[in-house]
Amino acid sequence: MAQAEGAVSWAAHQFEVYLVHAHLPRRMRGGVSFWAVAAGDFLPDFLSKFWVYGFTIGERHYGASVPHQWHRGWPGMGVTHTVAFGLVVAALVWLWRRNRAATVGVALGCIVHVVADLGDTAGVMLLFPFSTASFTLQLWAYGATSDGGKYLDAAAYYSSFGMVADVVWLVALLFSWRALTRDHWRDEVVPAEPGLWRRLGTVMPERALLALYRGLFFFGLCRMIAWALWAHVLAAPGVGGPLDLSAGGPWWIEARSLRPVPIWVVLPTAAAVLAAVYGAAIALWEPMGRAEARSRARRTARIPTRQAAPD
Amino acid sequence: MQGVPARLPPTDERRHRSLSPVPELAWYVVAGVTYIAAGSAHKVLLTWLVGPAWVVATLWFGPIVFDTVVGTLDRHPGRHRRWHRRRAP
Repeated sequence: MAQAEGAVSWAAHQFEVYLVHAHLPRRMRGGVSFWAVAAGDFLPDFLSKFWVYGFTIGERHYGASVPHQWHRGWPGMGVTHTVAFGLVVAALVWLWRRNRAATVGVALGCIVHVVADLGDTAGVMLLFPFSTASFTLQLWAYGATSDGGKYLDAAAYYSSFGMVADVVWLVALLFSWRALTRDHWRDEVVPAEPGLWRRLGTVMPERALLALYRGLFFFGLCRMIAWALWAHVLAAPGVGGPLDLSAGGPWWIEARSLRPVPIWVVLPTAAAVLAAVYGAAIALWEPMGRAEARSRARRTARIPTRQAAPD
Repeated sequence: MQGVPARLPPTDERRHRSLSPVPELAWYVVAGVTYIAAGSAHKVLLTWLVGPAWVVATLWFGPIVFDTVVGTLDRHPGRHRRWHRRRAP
């Protein structure tokens, strides 16, 4: 019998999607695909985390022998948690679709995911491929293990400063509550992908479309409550241990790390990388728009040619 | 709008009733409480596919089911006849 463990990335990764979309530079408002931001944010863990927990068939367990190395290191799939990866994926999306709404969305989503993962002890390779050093704030222990699986990981995360991090992202989003309103959805989300929402609107009422937009927020909030409830009420004391909000906690799990850089380097570097990415996105926004328009014009011009070809 | 009692909210597209903010919030609360309860009991439900699908299904079908049930129980079924085509006289 196969026993697979679904990928778990914590609620912060759902909340940050709305925050990124709510705080876009002025010229990009209404022009960046919400679903592209979500996909970019989702991609790093989607590609790497299934093997972190692995799965069991019969008596045999398949998965990473050193989960934190696989998830965040090099060699391993830690490359998915790098700024370079986000830029490469965005470049591929651009080459494929010539769509700046999707391209910029994927890049921002992916890179914000990387920055959000600075908090645990495993950290991320922020400057890959120039350096494989791990950038980490060491706020809570990286708790994914092949033995403990998703449940021990969840118990450790929601017994540590990680839970506080989720709450901080939630509070930040609640300060930007307009991002969850019908007006924001109509004015800034739908215009970036009118075709998709129009197609969905042919089968779904508006209240369901709005629920779909708010779905990731709903999921993040509910899973945060459900996992915290499970870790401290339903599973305790069988799985994990007590709450420990000290740096690198909880004390009852080994905090795994990978060649970390000094902590004082982390925030300035992350801020510089974010500023560089946003600066590049702002600088490229108009040229990408012109290139997209040219590409669309070429495609439109090609249609009558194809129709005329049989004659 | 013909056939719809004036005191009910107007429909949006596809003959679905629009929800005013309080009932809409109530449906989100219903979705959240049920999802947290179900997810705590069966953690396989706590996935990025099921979570959003849960809230969409609740907001989409919950009011329809509620109106249908209330319409069935109502002593004046005509109040909820908007879900049915009006018969030609």
